[in-house]
Amino acid sequence: MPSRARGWIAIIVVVAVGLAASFVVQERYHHRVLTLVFLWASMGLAWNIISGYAGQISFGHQAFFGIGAYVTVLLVVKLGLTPWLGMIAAVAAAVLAAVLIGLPTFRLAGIYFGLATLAYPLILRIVMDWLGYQEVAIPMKREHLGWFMQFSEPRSFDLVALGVLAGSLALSYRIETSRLGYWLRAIRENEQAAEAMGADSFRCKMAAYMLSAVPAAVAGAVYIHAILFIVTPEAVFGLLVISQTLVVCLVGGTGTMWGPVIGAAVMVPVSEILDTTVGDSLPGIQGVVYGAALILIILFAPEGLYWGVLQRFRARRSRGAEGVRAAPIVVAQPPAHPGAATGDVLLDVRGISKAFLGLQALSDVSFDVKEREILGVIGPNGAGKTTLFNVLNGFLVPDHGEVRFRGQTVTGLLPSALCRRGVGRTFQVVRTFPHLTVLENVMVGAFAREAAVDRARARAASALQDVSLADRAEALPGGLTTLELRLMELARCLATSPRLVLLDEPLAGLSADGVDVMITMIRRVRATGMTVVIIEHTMQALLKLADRLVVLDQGRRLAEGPPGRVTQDRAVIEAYLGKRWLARAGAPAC
Amino acid sequence: MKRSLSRMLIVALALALVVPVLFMGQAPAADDVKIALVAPLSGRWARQGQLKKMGADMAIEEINGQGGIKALGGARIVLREADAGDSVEKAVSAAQRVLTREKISAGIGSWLSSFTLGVTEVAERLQVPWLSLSYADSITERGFKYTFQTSPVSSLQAEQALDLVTDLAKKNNRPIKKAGIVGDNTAASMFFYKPLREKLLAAKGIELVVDDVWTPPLADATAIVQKLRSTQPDIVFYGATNFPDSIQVLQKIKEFSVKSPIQGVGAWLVTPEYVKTVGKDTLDNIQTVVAAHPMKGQEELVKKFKQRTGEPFMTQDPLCTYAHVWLIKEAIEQAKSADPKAIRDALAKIDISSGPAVSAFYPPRVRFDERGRRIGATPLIVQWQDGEPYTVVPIAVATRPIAWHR
Repeated sequence: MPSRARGWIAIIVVVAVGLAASFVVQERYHHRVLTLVFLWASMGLAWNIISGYAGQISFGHQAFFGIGAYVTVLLVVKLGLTPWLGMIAAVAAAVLAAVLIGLPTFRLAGIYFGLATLAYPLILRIVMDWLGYQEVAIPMKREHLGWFMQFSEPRSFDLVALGVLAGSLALSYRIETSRLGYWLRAIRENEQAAEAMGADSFRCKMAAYMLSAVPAAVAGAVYIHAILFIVTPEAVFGLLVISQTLVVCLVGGTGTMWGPVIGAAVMVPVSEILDTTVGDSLPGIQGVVYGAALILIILFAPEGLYWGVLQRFRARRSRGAEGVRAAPIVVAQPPAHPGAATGDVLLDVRGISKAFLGLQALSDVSFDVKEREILGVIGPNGAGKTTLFNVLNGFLVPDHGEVRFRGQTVTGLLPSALCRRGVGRTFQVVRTFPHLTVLENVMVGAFAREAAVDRARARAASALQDVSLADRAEALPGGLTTLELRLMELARCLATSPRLVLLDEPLAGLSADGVDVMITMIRRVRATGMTVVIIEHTMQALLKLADRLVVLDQGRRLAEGPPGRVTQDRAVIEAYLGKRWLARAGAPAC
Repeated sequence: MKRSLSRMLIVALALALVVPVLFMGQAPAADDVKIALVAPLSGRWARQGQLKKMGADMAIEEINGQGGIKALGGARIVLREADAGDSVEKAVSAAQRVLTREKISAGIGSWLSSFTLGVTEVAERLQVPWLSLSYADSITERGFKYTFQTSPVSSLQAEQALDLVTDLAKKNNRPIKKAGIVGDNTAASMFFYKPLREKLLAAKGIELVVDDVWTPPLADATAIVQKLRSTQPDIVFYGATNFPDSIQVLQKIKEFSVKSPIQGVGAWLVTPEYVKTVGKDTLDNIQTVVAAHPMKGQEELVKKFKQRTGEPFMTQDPLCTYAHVWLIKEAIEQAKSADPKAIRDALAKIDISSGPAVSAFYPPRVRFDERGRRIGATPLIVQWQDGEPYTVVPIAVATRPIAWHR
């Protein structure tokens, strides 16, 4: 069965179970608990889109919940508009708010983003107080109860909330199985690598934020009508809302749509059971027991119940099958005389300078890269080699100078845009997406060219085939050797169909055999028509590989030319190779 | 080692979940009349909930001690309390739980007006009559048939309180020309300030010289108190419902020797905690508007309450809840039934003006209009004197004469 169909079937099963529960349960109070489970699961799913998939921890997600609640209720109170239609306006308002919040806030990274999001619900609380909406009660519409979501039958609220949950699950699943979902996870795992592989991280995060505002707003609107019956700033923008959301997600597990569902199904009933048992006889103790339960679950399954159970299940299944690959990686040599450099200029670097405060990392560096050549960039530590790559693939904007790629100025473009134009790169220290399989890692690169998941998967599989890693497709990067990691990163880069490949020390940390494999691989890359720029310390390897060399020292271009000539250059020898090189390698040429 | 530790933790958790169930209350006799009290018994407002429970317990003990409900052959009243916690969600949840688990004849609660708004919605849908002391106008503006509000609503309280104090000031030859509003932005306070600002002060030709409202917690009261000192309003409407904020403001007022009379806007200003924290000197002459407070002739009731509970004095929360239980009892006597619908109808028609059921209310007569508001409900003014709050206005029921300000 294709895995995609399996996901939809799982969603249908969850909804069917919810439906069954709603018809089994008789007592009004139990219906309420069920409604709460569905709503908090939906709110958890909303949070999971931005914070689970995209890894942008939001402590202010109740802003959208509250906007959903207030907009629908105020439309009922002021205009007599049914909440069914009011919710559409509420969703629109929440998405607009997401844009307004995201524009300034996504400039912040990591925990700073999270802290900044705290401010928005606080602001909204003050605004609601100021507007005089401290307590807004919903007027009872006895004639049109259903039309105003004021059912007397508690089961109806279950069904509405279950509908919200089904919608949130469907949205989550669509995201999980789409290019956006893969990009978001890649951004969460390593934002720079994702950006270099063509994922425009700002746009992806913004899209995720806007999408995550939708279920939050709907959940907020339904919560007020089904659960609270009145709206106060404290009740919808308060810390209790976000803490309940976090509890549901952390207990269940983040980054998967099943996490919030499991978390809500466990923690909401636990909290209610505690309220009805200990809470009524010893008021206050329920909070203590609830906290203890939370700590226990986090101790047993720090990544959440879903991942905890999954890990145990996987461990049991793969026990014994812990095979390491049998054969060493063997790569066929490319045709003996690959098409050499054509002479057309692919990349033209003109007068690049870049300073970090007082340190001049690059000053006035110029060179060009010809189609289908292998250009080596060498230089001692701190010469500015990696800074140069960062300028070339868009991580850094140069202070002066210009980079032209295929005749067009590309200075200042985002890495993702450069990637789409055909500049691929690997990193000095391999940057993986650790929680994605090898195949998925490479798929992230493939998405630069393919929007459809199936085709991206096929393209990634063929890229893995090209680097002889097909048998490791389902492994996690954590289990790979250094050589395999380097090959995986190369495959990921090749999957973006680059014209120019920037390789940052691809041989670092490899054994002698590994170096040979990698060198052959790089030759094959060139043989397929790509142009390669390599940073490398290992001079001997580079002499075998490169058509031309550029030597950097203290941010300046020291020399440029064929390896034979460059290694004879007195300045290069003094700055980089050392006198012994002259004695050893230079002597025969004299 | 690690594994056995985990096992122990699991066992501990299981025990924590199961043991309390064993201690749950025993079922009452079948013909008892059950009254629900939904109030915050844990969290920030637990103290108020406890006070309400003290009042309810006292009334129930009296009623049962006098032979229970006569119309039902001496049926006893039992209280079913549910913890409203510190959020609307918990409050509504508690109400739903307590009202559906067994047959409840009537309910009382839930102190904070936003809790009451949510809880009465549940009671309305389940058709259980509900008595509340909350002030918010909106509670009885929704067309509910089962909600009964015994306190004067916020909008009226502001108007009536202003009448009372201007009248008083005139009699003392200190007419009010300048007023201040100082307090936080909690719903109850905001509903009080709003009519003052919008029309009431202007109608009496009073100038509003200070209008300082904050979101709790208050960082520093100095600037606010300095404003009071420089403008010297003839009355300050004071709504710092948050205890730490209020302490801060009162101490600064003392420190800066601000002479303006302080007129609080709620019962939060008359709790024993104030005496313990700021001392009786600082509190002297501070007055506040409340919906209920022991009045002249209730000395016996107060004495009994103090003996039972060890509280230094009786305030609005236990007093109202005490009266609410009695009121429900009277309604049951008139309905001759413990059926919630019959009790509702009896409450809607009730008109009594004597006995413990009216003890908390001024004027001492209970009748409800078609919205469920007590007809003629008037607030009282309570003043701190020698570390105890006394009813000072209206003079007919005052327990002490008002001490006018220096």
